[in-house]
Amino acid sequence: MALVDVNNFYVSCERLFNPYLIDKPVVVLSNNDGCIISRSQEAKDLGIKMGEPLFKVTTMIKQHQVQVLSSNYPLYADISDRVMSLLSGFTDTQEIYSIDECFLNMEGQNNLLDIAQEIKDLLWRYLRMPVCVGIGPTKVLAKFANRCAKKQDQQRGVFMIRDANMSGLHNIMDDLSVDQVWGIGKALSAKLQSKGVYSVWELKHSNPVWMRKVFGINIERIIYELNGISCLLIDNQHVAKQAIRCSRSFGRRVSDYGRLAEAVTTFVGCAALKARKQHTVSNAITIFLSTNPFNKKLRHYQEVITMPLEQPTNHTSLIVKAALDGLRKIYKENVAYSKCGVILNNLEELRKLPYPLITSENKRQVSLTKTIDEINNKFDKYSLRIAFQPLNPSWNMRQAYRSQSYSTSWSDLVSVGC
Amino acid sequence: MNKVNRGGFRVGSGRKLGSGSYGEPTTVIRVPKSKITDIRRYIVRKQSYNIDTIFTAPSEPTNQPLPLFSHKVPAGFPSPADDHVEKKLDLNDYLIKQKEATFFVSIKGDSMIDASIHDGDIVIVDRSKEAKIGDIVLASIDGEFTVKTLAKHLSHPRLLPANSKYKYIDVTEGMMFEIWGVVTGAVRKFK
Repeated sequence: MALVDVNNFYVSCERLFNPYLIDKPVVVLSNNDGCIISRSQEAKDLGIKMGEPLFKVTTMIKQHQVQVLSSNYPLYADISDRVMSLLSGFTDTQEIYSIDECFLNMEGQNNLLDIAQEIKDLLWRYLRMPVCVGIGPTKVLAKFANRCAKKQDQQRGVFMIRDANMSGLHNIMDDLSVDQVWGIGKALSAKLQSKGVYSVWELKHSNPVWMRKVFGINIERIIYELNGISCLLIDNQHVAKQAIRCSRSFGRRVSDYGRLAEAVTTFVGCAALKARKQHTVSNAITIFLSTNPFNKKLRHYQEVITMPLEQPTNHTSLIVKAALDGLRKIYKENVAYSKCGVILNNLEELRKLPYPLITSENKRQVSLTKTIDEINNKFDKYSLRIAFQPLNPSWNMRQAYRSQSYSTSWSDLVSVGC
Repeated sequence: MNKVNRGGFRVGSGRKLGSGSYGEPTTVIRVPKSKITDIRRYIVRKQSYNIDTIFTAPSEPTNQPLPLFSHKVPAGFPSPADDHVEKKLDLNDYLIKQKEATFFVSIKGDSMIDASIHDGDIVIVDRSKEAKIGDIVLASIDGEFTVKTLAKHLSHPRLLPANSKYKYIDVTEGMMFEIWGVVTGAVRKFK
């Protein structure tokens, strides 16, 4: 099993299209330019922390001329697709685990270190993506090897755990606390420590049956995996999501009902499209509103409502109607909202429904939605939309430092002086 | 002798040479009767086009490549050509070899005009190709992109423009230099 992930993925994507950023400290911000979510090595070396709010490091950014960028998800998604497509060539089974990492089943292949090196070289040459490759007999060990590849400079981005009893593993695992293991979060690692399990090595050598009784089946699996016994299978099936959430913090506060209705309409459109893409229908929509919880001067107000849908559906216009009814019920005048969102609940796969959804009454609706999706796919994402939905809403996210959609929009190609 | 002033040749009379529908002098030839229609059709076709073959271009290169020749089938009869339609033209196939490593870049400026790269063109850049001397490359120098022909001078790379108005760029020590990819083609629209 191999785990490949891209180092500082968002920064690496930005550097591909902007050579000015090479060798400089660079950070990429979360939605709405709030927190730092990706850092170049130079920025890490300055001591900038993951997840740190931008305003806390403004002095350092000025002092060291750190390059600050808003996140550019269309760009990252396109580069991610290219990375995953190239990696799929090295295996017959690939599990895409996140936007920048995936498991590759390497069973039956020899010279794994050579292959790992080949992967590294290929991704650097084709896409200028620096990657780390961890190889191990199980997923947990591959993930652990990847961590070693990343943290130890002398490994040059490739680390292989040949088998769970490999000499040298003791030293590494003894020095690391249990939360360095894939699947063990902060809360669980605190509980483990209270039972005297501190290091990865101690976890590896604890009794799986006893641990299962105390902490549940997941920990048992992790212990087996650390010992080279495969329990977690590679997951290359795309499981349809059971709920789809679409929400946004506003770029500035919103009190006006009309503006909120615009936002709700936009989010419903986005969630319904996702539901249609995975062929699922929902029977209820949740709408939520809230003020800024960090603003101590104003009373915090938040409200949630769930509206049933007449019948399971994924048609934007039907859901918008229900969502706006819900919004009307929870909206209060003279409140400065900072966030709003919608959740499509209880999504069920269309093909699993016990009865057909297409009746003579809604046939028109079905073909209308299909046509709209086709047109939007062919032209612009928002060519056809509900009239309520503005193209450049006043409440839009702050994205002050966003780069162009270099690889996904004709009007945003890199322009080269020549 | 009595000169008869009727009939015969008069200067300036008759149709002018080349004034016919072909726009040039014509001549009479002897042809087999069975080929008359073919020859007429050939002449008519030649007149209206200035290129040899017309392809049906795919209307949407990515999704729906059309067959090379579109063929209307008379109702009820299978087309004898059905078994022979095999090639569908897709501009992506023509322009892109390694799709994961290929990017489009738009050109501003005229320094590569003699290499047929014009202002406003979109060039295709393939990062999977290894750049060789003489290739047109997209390179970055000190944080800026440029498209030039790759050359070598003494031991360092040199970037050559394709327009006598511009000077070459020598890449010397201390410059940040990277060959980003090889330019493998250019796309230009006239309308």
